[in-house]
Parts: sequence; structure tokens; C-alpha cells
Amino acid sequence: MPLQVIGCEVVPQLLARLMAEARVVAPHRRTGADQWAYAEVRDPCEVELEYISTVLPAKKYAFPPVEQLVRYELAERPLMEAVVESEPLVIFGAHPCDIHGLWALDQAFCDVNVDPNYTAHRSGMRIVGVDCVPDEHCFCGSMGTATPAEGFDLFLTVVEGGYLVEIGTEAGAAMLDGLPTQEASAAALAQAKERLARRIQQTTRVSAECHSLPLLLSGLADSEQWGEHATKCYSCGTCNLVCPTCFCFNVIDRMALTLDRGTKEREWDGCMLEEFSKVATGENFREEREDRLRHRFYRKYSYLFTKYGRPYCCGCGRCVRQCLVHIDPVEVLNDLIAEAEGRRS
Amino acid sequence: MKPRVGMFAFTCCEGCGLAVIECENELLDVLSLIDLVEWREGLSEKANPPELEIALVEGSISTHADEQKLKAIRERAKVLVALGACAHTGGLNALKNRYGMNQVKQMVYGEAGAQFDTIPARPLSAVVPVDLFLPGCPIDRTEFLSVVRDVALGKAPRLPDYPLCVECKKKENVCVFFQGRFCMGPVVRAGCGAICPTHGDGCEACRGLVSHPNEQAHKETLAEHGLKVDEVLMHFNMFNSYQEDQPA
Ligand code: SF4
Ligand code: SF4
Ligand code: SF4
Ligand code: SF4
Ligand code: SF4
Ligand code: SF4
Repeated sequence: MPLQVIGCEVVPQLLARLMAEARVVAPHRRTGADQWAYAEVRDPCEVELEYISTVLPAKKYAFPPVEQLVRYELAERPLMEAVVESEPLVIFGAHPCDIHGLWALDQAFCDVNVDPNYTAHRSGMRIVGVDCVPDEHCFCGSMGTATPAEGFDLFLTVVEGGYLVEIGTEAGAAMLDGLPTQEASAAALAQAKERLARRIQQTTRVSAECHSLPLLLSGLADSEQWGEHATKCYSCGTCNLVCPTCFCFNVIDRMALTLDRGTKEREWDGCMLEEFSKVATGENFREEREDRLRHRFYRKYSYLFTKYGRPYCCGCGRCVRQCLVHIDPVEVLNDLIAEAEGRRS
Repeated sequence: MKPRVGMFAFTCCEGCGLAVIECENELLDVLSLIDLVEWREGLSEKANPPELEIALVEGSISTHADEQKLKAIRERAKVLVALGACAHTGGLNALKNRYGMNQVKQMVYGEAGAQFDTIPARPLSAVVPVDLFLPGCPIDRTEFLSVVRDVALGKAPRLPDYPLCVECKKKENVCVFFQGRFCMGPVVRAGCGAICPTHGDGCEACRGLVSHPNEQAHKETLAEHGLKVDEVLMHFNMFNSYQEDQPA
């Protein structure tokens, strides 16, 4: 189907239709600050599609912060059952970077060991993406994540009077059935193209081409800059938790006080936390803040990048937006790139 | 045999004991795990056995008599647990330590103060070895229940040793710094579910600091958000002003 255009007034109709079939979540402005969070849509007319990336990414629906994995009972015949839950869910208004973030989680959870809980959440999930206006922290242009090539059912780009709609899947096409759409005019296509070009230009902020990062970093493990950036780091894990591509978790046994039943739950963990790399003997592989900071950067821009062929950072800027000491991946990368260039010359 | 447990209180508001009483729905399950034999606030009868498997102690030590009583409890108990900020860090009580003891007696009781025995407030660990502590003002009920379960099972309980921001982020709260207020969360031990930021207030560090807090970074953050040096110190000191070198 050629690209379609819908008027702004069609968006509430589309939402209403989706809400009849599934739980629909969209960005909501939080009171007290210019911060946004995905939350359930109650009224199709309340949804605002121009927003700054949510505090937590869409990953919170595919990989919730706390999730039961197993229930058990220690009766005469012990019982152990997996808890796998899924519901039809539409994420309405995901930015391109967030859609790339889900791609990264898909690799992590489904590559070798297929995670049943993640897969169940993901299979019930539909995505309606929307393009965006970057703020000063966005750097999707540098990460190649400014446009989603895949991973959405519909994708909306703002054009005059409405949205240009890309259809990513059959389910996406069905969402539009019966709604008033028009074939996109050349003018609309040109507007969307220009909007994208402007966004890429504004968000291309890392001073080297992203595919050069793994090699570049491989020579910089001993850089003093890790320590310099890390002196102000709290090891608070915020940058991991809010990151669309971070997927680490801890599994906790919660036995009831009656000692006859309980659950095993997983909850988000993060490599910036001091306890994360501590093992049973008390040994900690990454004892210093700088070891942890370096590790985080190597995961994003080297190890997993090399393994999966795309950077494991979607450039969304969530980490620096929430980091109280302003540790900014763009700044750290640019400092490192400058050092690498200095070493070479 | 179920472990015999005694609850004791020193200088404090006994709010931690109250938090235990408030575990209404779980108390019967707790009593299936332990034998609660001594507790002034919660039991009308008491057994006073010479030996206890577990002593749960709230409050800080601020009189000579307290000191003797705590030592006697320590001798009776296999495991001694400090309950709440007063017992764990000295809590709010330690704020008095910055004044002379005669001065505080005068401030609170006037002339009549002279008759009281008061010494700088100390956490339990400054007087006797403490095996475990449950932080918070008051303690967190869920954490209390899981620690009781672990201790009854003979398992070492695990308290989080990461900053409060972790729990705050999982709830997707808007950071109170972005709402123009202040928070100790980045250096404070999690475990309360970030209850204060969740309700829009900054954390006052009642649970004490994580093992390796980046205090320098936090002083800078507080200053960046407009606090002056003495105000910064006030935030750090509210629940955590006790210093080991203070004279007893
Ligand atoms: S970089 Fe910032 S957000 Fe991440 S752990 Fe350090 S202080 Fe926290
Ligand atoms: S590292 Fe930061 S910018 Fe990159 S994906 Fe994670 S949160 Fe976004
Ligand atoms: S990083 Fe790019 S895709 Fe993500 S919100 Fe910013 S501009 Fe949009
Ligand atoms: S820690 Fe707080 S609630 Fe508990 S006894 Fe002390 S003052 Fe009361
Ligand atoms: S409100 Fe406090 S605990 Fe929550 S993220 Fe901000 S600093 Fe951390
Ligand atoms: S948020 Fe801070 S002050 Fe409030 S209960 Fe938790 S540790 Fe205590």
C-alpha cells in the first residue's frame, strides 16, 4: 500500500478503535515537571504526540521492572509453576529510538535462550510510532536510529494538517481499515523527508562515525578519562534503568512467612551498581566506579555492537536527562574520540 | 523449637515497635515462626527467659543506665538486631550531641534538668556488637517481615546496598530535584521503596548511606540546585550526624 496521510482528527478515532481491542498506552505528561511517562490512555482526545522521551522506555512493558517468574508450594506434593503473562497492548507514540531499543531487547532475550516471559509480552504488543522533535540530549542521528526501518505496525510523521502514515505490518494495515485516509501527496512526502533530514542533522553529535566506535574503544581501555568522568558518578544505576537497551536483572526468592509457598521474581539490575559484579566470595570484578562506567560504555558501543552489528545504544539521551551529575554519553564518546585521534597523530 | 524473641526499646519514639504491631495481617504468621516472649509495648505478659535467640532493639543509647541494660540484653541474646534509625545510626537523637549535655538538659527541662542522667546519644553498635540492622525511621514493614523470616530460617538477610534512586526509577517517579526540591536518594541505602520521593518529598536519608556513597558528588549536586554549605550539611546530618569520636 502506498504511503497514506491521515488528518489530526483521525488520531482519536484510531485510538478509540485500538482501545476497543487492547490496552493502549501513550506518553503522558507528569505533573510538576516537563517529564513524560507511558501510561494507559483513558480518553482518546487527551493523547499528546509531541513530547520529550519518557523517563522509562517502552521496555517497561516487555520487561517489567519487577516480574514474577515462578510460583511454588512446598506441600506434600511440591508444586512449581511458571508464571507467563501476556495481554494485547498497543504502545502508541513510541519514538524511533524507543523502537530501536525494543530491537536491542529482542536480540538479548530471544537470541540464544528464548525468554518466555519477554516473548509473551512482546507477542501481544503492537507499536504505533511517531516522529519527534529532538531536545539537546538526543543523538539518534549518530547512532543510525533516527528512523525505524522495522519494528512498528504503523509509524506517523508529522506533516501539514496531519500525519504521514507508514504501514509496517498487516496488523498495522488493519488498524487503518475504514478510517479516512488519503494517498500521500508529493508535498506531504517532501515535508516528511525534510523533517527527518533536519532531525538527523540536529542529532548527529558524536564526532566519529558510529561503526568506528568498537575499534576505537578497543585501544582506550587504559584511558584516564574513564576515571575522570567517573569521579562524579554516584553508581546509582539510573542510567541503566532508564536505558531502552539495558536488560540485566536479578532473581529474588520471596518465600512466604508461612514457609510453605513463595515466588521467584526478577527485577531490574544494572552494571553501574556496585553490588552487580560482586560474587559469592565477596570478590568484585568491577570494584571501582571507573571500571563500571567503562564497562557500561563497552557494552553499548563495543561488545554487543560487535555481536549484533548495531550499536547497543539508540541515542535516546534518557541516561543523561536523568543523571544528576550529567554524565553524557555524547560528551564521553567525543572526549574518547579526541584522545584516540591524539594518540594516532 | 521456635526461636525466643524479645523486643526492647531505648531512647526513641517506639515508632518502629508500632510498625511491627501494624503488621496486623502477618502477625499470626510471624508468631508461627518465632516465640515472642518479651515486649513491653506489645505484650501484656512477659517471660523474661535468661536466654534469647533474637533480641530486636529499637532506640539509641543516651543514658548510663541504657548502656548497662543494653549490655545485659547482649549477654542474653544470640542475635542482636538494631531496629530503626535510632538504633542503627543514632538517628535524630544524635542531633543533641552537637550541644553540651548540660545545655540540652537546660533547653528541654530548665532547672529540673539537673537531676537527669544524659550522655551523647549513640547507636547500639557503639556500645555492643550488633549482628544485624534494619534501617529506617520507622523500619519498613515488608523488610522487617523478610528479615524475621530469614533470621528464623538461620539465613543471613540481604539488605539492598544500592542507592534509593534505583527504587525511585523503577516507579518512574519524577525526580524531586526536577521539581525544585532536594533529595538524599543518590547516596542513601534503598529498601523503603523510595516512599518519600514517591509522595513528592525529598529523601532525608533515614536509612543511612550506602557502603560507598559519593558524598562529594552529592554535595556538588545539592549546591548546583541552590543549597548553601550549611544547608547541605543539614541534609547530610539530619539522621546521620553521629560520629564515632564523639565523647560518651
Ligand atoms: S552515570 Fe549518572 S545515572 Fe549513571 S550511575 Fe553514574 S551518576 Fe548514576
Ligand atoms: S545509553 Fe543512554 S542514550 Fe544510549 S540508549 Fe541507553 S539511555 Fe539511551
Ligand atoms: S533520540 Fe531521536 S528518535 Fe529519540 S526522541 Fe530524540 S530525536 Fe526522537
Ligand atoms: S527510628 Fe524513627 S520510628 Fe523508629 S523508634 Fe526511632 S524515631 Fe521512632
Ligand atoms: S527523587 Fe531522589 S531518589 Fe528519586 S531519582 Fe531523584 S534523587 Fe534519586
Ligand atoms: S525515602 Fe529516604 S527518608 Fe524516606 S523513608 Fe526512604 S530512606 Fe527514609
